[in-house]
Amino acid sequence: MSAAAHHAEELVLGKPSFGQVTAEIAAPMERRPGAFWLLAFLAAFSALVLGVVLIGHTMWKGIGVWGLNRTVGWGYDITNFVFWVGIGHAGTLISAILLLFRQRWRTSIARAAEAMTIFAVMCAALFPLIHMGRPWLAFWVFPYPNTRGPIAVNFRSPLLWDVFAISTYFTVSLVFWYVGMIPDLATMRDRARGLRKRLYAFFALGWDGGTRTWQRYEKACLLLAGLATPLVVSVHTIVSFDFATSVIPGWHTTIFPPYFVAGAVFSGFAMVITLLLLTRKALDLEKYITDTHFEKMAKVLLTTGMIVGFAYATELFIAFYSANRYERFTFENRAFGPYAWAYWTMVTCNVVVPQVFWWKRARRSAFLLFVASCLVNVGMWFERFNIIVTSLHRDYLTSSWTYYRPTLVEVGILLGSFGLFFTCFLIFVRVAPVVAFHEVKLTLAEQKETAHASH
Amino acid sequence: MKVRNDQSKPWIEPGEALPSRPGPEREDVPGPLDTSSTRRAFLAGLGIGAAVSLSACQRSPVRHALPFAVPPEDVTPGVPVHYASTCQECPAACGLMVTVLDGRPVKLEGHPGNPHTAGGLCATGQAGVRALYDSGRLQEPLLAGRPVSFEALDAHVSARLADVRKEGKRVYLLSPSLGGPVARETIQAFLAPFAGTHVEFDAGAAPFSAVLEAYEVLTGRLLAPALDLSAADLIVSFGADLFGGGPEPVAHTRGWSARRRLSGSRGEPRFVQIEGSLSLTGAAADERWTATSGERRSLVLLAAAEIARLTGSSDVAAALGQAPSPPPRGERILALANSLVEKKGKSIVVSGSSSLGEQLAVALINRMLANEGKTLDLERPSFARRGVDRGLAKLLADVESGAAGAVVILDSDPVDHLPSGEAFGKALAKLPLSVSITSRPTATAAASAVVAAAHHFLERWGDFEPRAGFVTFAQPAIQPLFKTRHPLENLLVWSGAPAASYREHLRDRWQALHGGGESFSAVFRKAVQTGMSDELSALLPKLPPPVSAPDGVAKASVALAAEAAARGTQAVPLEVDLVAQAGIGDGRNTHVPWLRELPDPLTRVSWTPCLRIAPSRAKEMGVADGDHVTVEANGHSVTLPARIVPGQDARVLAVPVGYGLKDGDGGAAARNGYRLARMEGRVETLGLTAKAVRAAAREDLPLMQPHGATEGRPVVYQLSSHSEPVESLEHHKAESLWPERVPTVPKWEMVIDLDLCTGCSGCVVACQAENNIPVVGPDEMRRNRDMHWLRIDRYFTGDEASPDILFEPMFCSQCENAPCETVCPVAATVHSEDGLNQQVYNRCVGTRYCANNCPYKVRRFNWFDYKVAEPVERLVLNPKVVVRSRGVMEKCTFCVQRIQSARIEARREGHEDWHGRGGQTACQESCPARAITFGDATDPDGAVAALKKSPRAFQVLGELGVRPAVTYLAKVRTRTTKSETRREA
Repeated sequence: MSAAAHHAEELVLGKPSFGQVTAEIAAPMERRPGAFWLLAFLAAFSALVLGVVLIGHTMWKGIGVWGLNRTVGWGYDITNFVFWVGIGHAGTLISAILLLFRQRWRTSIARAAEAMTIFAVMCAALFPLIHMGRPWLAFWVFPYPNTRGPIAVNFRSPLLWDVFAISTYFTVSLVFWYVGMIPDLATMRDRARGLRKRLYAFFALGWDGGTRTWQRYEKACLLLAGLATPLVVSVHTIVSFDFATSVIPGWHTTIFPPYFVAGAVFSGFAMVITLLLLTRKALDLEKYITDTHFEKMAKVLLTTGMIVGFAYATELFIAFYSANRYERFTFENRAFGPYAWAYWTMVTCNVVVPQVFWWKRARRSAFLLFVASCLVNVGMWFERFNIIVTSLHRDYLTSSWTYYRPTLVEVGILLGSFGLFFTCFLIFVRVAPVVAFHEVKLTLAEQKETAHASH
Repeated sequence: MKVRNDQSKPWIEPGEALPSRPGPEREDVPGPLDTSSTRRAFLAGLGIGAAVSLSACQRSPVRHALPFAVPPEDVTPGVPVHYASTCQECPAACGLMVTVLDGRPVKLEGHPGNPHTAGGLCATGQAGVRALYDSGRLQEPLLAGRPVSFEALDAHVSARLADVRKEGKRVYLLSPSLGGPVARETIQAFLAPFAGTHVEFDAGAAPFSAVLEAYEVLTGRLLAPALDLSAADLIVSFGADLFGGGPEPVAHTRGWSARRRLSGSRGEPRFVQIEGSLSLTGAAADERWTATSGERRSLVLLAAAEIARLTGSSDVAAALGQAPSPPPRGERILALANSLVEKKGKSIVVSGSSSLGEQLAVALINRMLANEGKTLDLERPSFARRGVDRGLAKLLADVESGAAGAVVILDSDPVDHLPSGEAFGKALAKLPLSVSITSRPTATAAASAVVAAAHHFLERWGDFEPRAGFVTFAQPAIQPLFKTRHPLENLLVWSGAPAASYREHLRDRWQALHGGGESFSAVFRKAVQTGMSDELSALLPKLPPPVSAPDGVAKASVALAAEAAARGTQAVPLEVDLVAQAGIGDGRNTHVPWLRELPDPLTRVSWTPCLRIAPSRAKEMGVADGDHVTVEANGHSVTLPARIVPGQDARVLAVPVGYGLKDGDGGAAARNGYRLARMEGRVETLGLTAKAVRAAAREDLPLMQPHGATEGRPVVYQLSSHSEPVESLEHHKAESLWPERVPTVPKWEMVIDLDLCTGCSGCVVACQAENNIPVVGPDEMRRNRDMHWLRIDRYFTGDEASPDILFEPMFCSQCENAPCETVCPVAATVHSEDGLNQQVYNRCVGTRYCANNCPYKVRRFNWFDYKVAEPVERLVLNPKVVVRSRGVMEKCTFCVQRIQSARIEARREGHEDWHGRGGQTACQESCPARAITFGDATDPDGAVAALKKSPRAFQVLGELGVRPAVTYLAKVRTRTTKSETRREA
C-alpha cells in the first residue's frame, strides 16, 4: 500500500496510546468550561429562553400572532418541523447503516451524530405540538383508550402516521444512543469521583467489562442498528406523505418519499459537518475527528446534493410533462412567482454550492466545509419552505391567492429551536464522551494491526 | 299567507316520541305586545326582560341572565317564533319575517308572502338585527347634549313650538320617503297647526327627484312608475343601478331573476347597461359598455329620436329638437332602438341621471314604446322614493336665512348626507328649535339641540305603502332595549294629543278608516300577524289614473331645450360618480360590523372606502392599489386609497358614499363621499366634474381577494346562450381509489345559478347572522383572515377596459371524497350519512391540515378568540349554533341546524317521503334572485336533480375527483340579437 493511501486510511492521528485516548476525550468533561463554551452556552440558552417566551405568547394569544392566513395554514411551523426531522437523519444513518456496512470511519463521529439526532428530533417534535390551535389537547392524537365513546383517531391521516413515526424514531434513537454509550459511561464512572461517580455508575448499569458483557453489548448494538435502519427511510417517507397524499399541486407528488429521504440525509450530513467542525475545534479533537472523516462526509454531501438536484429537475419535468395546468403553474410560480427568491436560494445552496466538493482540497478545507455546510442547511430549510408555502399560497382558485409573511414571533421561535438544539448539544459535550472511547480504541487497534501487517 | 311554522327542539333524538304541539296554531301568534293576549305577552316580556338585564342598561343593576325559575307555559325555550313585519332600513319597505328565539330577535328573513320581494332581503336588511343590538345606539333622550327624561324633553319642545307658532316662523319636518297612510297622516297632523312642510329626502348614490319631476311634466303628477322587470324582454339602463344602489333593489332583482329563470333558453330579459362606473347591475348585464355622463345623455337623446322616427311620434321628435351628434357607439344605440321598437310593450328603459331632460327623454321613450301599463305601472306607482329636491332646497334656504323656526329631522342625517351639510349643521344649531329623532348618534343629532332617542325599527309599530295601494305593517319583535320612544309617538305627544302609544294610535286610525265595526279587530289582527292586508289596502282612496297632460310633450320640449342650453356640449376630462356599496348603501348602517367587514362585491375591499379607478387611468396617474388620491369636485375634496377596477370608464372615477360619517367611522370625515355631490336644484351624484391628484400617503387595503383573474382556469363559465353546454372536464378525471359510497337518502346538494347571481352579498350577511360568524376587523382582513363561510368570488374575464364580471359564491362543497376528512388526525371532520361534511368543533385540535388540503379554501380558522365583549351585542348570537373557540377550524355546514329542525318537523308530521322539503339554508332563504337551490339530490322530483341536468351545469374542480355536492350553472350573456348584428353591419 502506498504511503498516501495509507495516510488516507489513518482515522486516528498521532498514534496515541489507549490511556491517552481516554484522557484526551474525557478532558472536556473533567475540566472547567472554557470561555468558548460559556459564550456559546449563553447564546444558545438566550435563544432558548426567547423561544420559550414566544411560544408562551403564542399559546396565550393564539396562532394569530404568526403570519399565517386562510390560504397558507402552515408556514414556519411545519417548515421547521420537516427541517429538524431531516437533520436527525444523518445521525441514524451514520450510527446504524454505516455500522451494518462496517464503515470504520464512523466511529469517531457516530456519538456526536446520534446526539444531534436526538436533539434534532426533540426540536422537530416541538413544532407539530405548538402549531396546533389547541395544543393542550395534543394528547388526542394518541389512540389511547378513553371513556368518550371511545373516540378513535383517524388512521387515514398522514399526520397521525407522523405521530407514530416520530415517536418510534425518537425512542429507538434514544435507546440506541444510550446503549452505545454504556461502556464509555463505565469508563467515566471509573475516572470520576463523588456525585459524578454515582451518577455515571447509575447510568453505566453495572458495566463490568467482562467478555460476556461485551459480547451481549455488541449483539444489542447490532440488533438496535438493524431496528434503526428502516427508520432512516421510513420516517422521512412518512413525513413526505403529509404532502404527497394531499390534493394540492406541488404537494401531490409521487417523487416525495425518496426525494425527502435524500434531502434528509443531505441536510443531516451538512449539520454533522457544521457541528463537528465546531466541536473538534473547541474540544481539541483533531486527532480523532480528522480531515479524512470530513472528506468522506463531503462526498456524501456531494452525492446526496446531486440526488436532490436531480429530484428538483424531475419535479420540473413532470410538471411540464403532466400537462396539468395547476401543476405546471405551481412550478412556474415557484421559480418566477413572488417567492422566486426562496426558490433560487434553495437551488443555489443545495445544487450549486455542493459542487465545490468535486475538489479534494475543498473536501479537506475546514473553512470551505463550514461555509458550504451552513449554506446547505439554509438551502434545505428553504426547500421545505418552498414546498409548503409556495404550493399553498397559490393553489387552485385564484380568488384565494395570498402572500405569507412570517412575523417576528415565528422567526423568534425558529431561533428558539436552534437555542434548544445547541443548549442540549453543549450540555451533552460536558457530560458525555463526544467520541466513543471504546470504538476509537478498536479502530486504533485495527489501524496498528494494518500498519504492522503492511510493513 | 302562511306564517312559517315553529321548529321543534333540536335536542330531541330522532325516533323519540315527539310531544304533541302545545297551545294554538302558530298562525295565531300575535306580536309580543298585543294586549289581547296578556298572558303570552307577559311571558314574552319575561324572556325579553332577561335580555334587557343582559344589556346592562342603567335602569337595571342585574348583569347576568337568570334562568326561568318557573318555565313559561307557552314559550318553549329553543323554539323560534316568527313575526311578520316590514324592513325599515330603506324606503323600499321589503316584507320581513323576524325569527325570535327566547325573546330575542336573532335573524331577519324576507317575507315569503310579500308579492314584490317574495322572501328576498338585501345585505343591509339582513344586518338590521345586528344594528338593533349595537352598543353605539342612543340609549336615552338628550337636551343640549345632556341626558334628560322624556317629560323634560317634551316640555322643552312644546314650549319652543309654541314660541315658534307665536313668531309665525316656518316649521319643517324632514324625513326619508315615508310610507304608511297613518305615518303620513301623523306627520301632517303634527305640522297642520304651524302650516309646516313635510320634506322627504333620501340620501344615497341614486337621487330620484328628476324621475318624479319628469312624470310631473308629462302627467301633472309626481310619480315614479313601478317597474315590472319580470314582464320585460329587453331592458336598457343608462347608468341606473337597478340591482344595487337604486330604489327597490330586491324587488327589481326578484323580477328580473324570475323572468330570467322562466324564459329558459331565451335568456330574457336581455339587459343592456351603459354606465361610467362599474355597478352590480352592470356586472349582471348581458351587454355593458362604458360612457361618460355626457355621452350617456347624447345616447339617450339619440335613442329617443330614433324611436320617435320608427314609431312615427312626430310630436316627440319635434320636442327633442336637433338630434345630438352621435357619440361613440352611436350605431349600437340605433340598433338597440330598433330592438326596443321590436319589443314594444315588453321593454324597459331607465336612466340614473339627475337631469330632468334625460329623464323626460327616457319617459317619452317608454311612452312611445307603449311600456306604460305593461312593464311600467303608473297607476300603482312605486312609493320607494317620494322626495322632490326643490322641497329640500327650500328647507335648506329657510334654515340658512333663519326663516325657519323649527326643524324636526326624523331618521335622517342631512348634516353628513348633503354636500352643504356642514353649513346646514351650523345654521341648524342657531334655530329656535332643532329636533333630531334618531336611534343613532349622527352628525345631525350632534348639531340638534333636542335629540329624541328613537326605537330601532325592530322595536317599532308602523304601516307602510311601498307601492300605491299596497299596505304592509311592522310590529315590534322585542321590547325597547333602551330608554327610547317610537319616533312618531314624539309627534303625537308634541301635538298635545291625549297620551296614547303609537300602537294604539295606529290601530285607532286604521279603525277610523275601516269604519269600525265588529270585524275590524280580526282584520287588524290578521294584518299585523301576516304583515300585510288586502282588506286594509283596499280601504285606501284610489289614485286617479295618470293621464297624459295635454301640454306634457310641449312642456318637456321646453325643459329639454332649457337644459341643453345650460349644459353645453363641452366634454369633461374627468368626472366622478358617487356609488353605493353593497351592504353599506346610503351609510345608515356603516357602524354595523357585519356590513363593514362585508367585502364590496366589485372591489373586494372591506372596512375602507376606496376610490375606484380604471387600470389605464391608474397607470397614467402612476397610482397603484392603496395609494391615496385626492378627488375634488364642487368645491369639496375627499382623499381615499385607490383601487384599480377593470370595467371602470377611464374618464370616470367612483367614490362610495356612506363612509366618513360621524356615525359609523367618526374620525374619517375626509372620506365622506357625499360632500362631492352637486346640489343645484337637484342633488346630482353622477358625472360630477372632478380633479384628482395623487396624495403622498398610501395604505394596505383590507382586501378579501387580491387576485381577480381566473388565469384561464376552468373554474367559472360564461356562455353565449342558455342551451350551449359547458366544456366537459370528465376526461381529466382520474380513477377513484375510494370505494363508491353507498347512496343514502337524503343526500344534500346545492345548485347555484350564476346567471341569476348579482353578487349583492345578501347571502354573505345572512350566513354571518345565522352561523354566529365573528367579525375580525380591518387589520385581520389585511392579513387575509376573514371568517366568512360563504364568500362571493369575483372574476374579471376579457380585456381590462371592458371585462365581463363573474360572481361565484364559494363555500364548503361538502365533497363526497372530501380531502379535508382524510387528513384530520383526530377525525374532527367527518362525513354524515346524508352527505354533509361535518365539522366537530369540540374535537378539533387545530392542525389546519384540513384547510391546507381544501381545494376551495373555504375552511376558516379561529386565529384568536373572537368573542364579542359587549353584553348587548352578544344578544344577536343564534343559540342554535355553537360559538367557536380559539384554535378551532370552522366552515359552512349547509346550515345543519336548519336541516335538523326541518327533519324533526317532518318526522313529527309523519312525512315518510320527506326529501328535505321545507328545509332552507340561510343563504338560500335570503337570496333576492333565488339563485340558490338546496335540497335532496336523490329526490327525483326535486329541484336539485332537475337543475343538475341543465347543459349549463358544472362543478368547480370536479375533475379532481372530490365529488363536490355543489353544482354551478354557468352565466349566460346574450350580447346582440341577430337583427341587431345585421343592422350594425
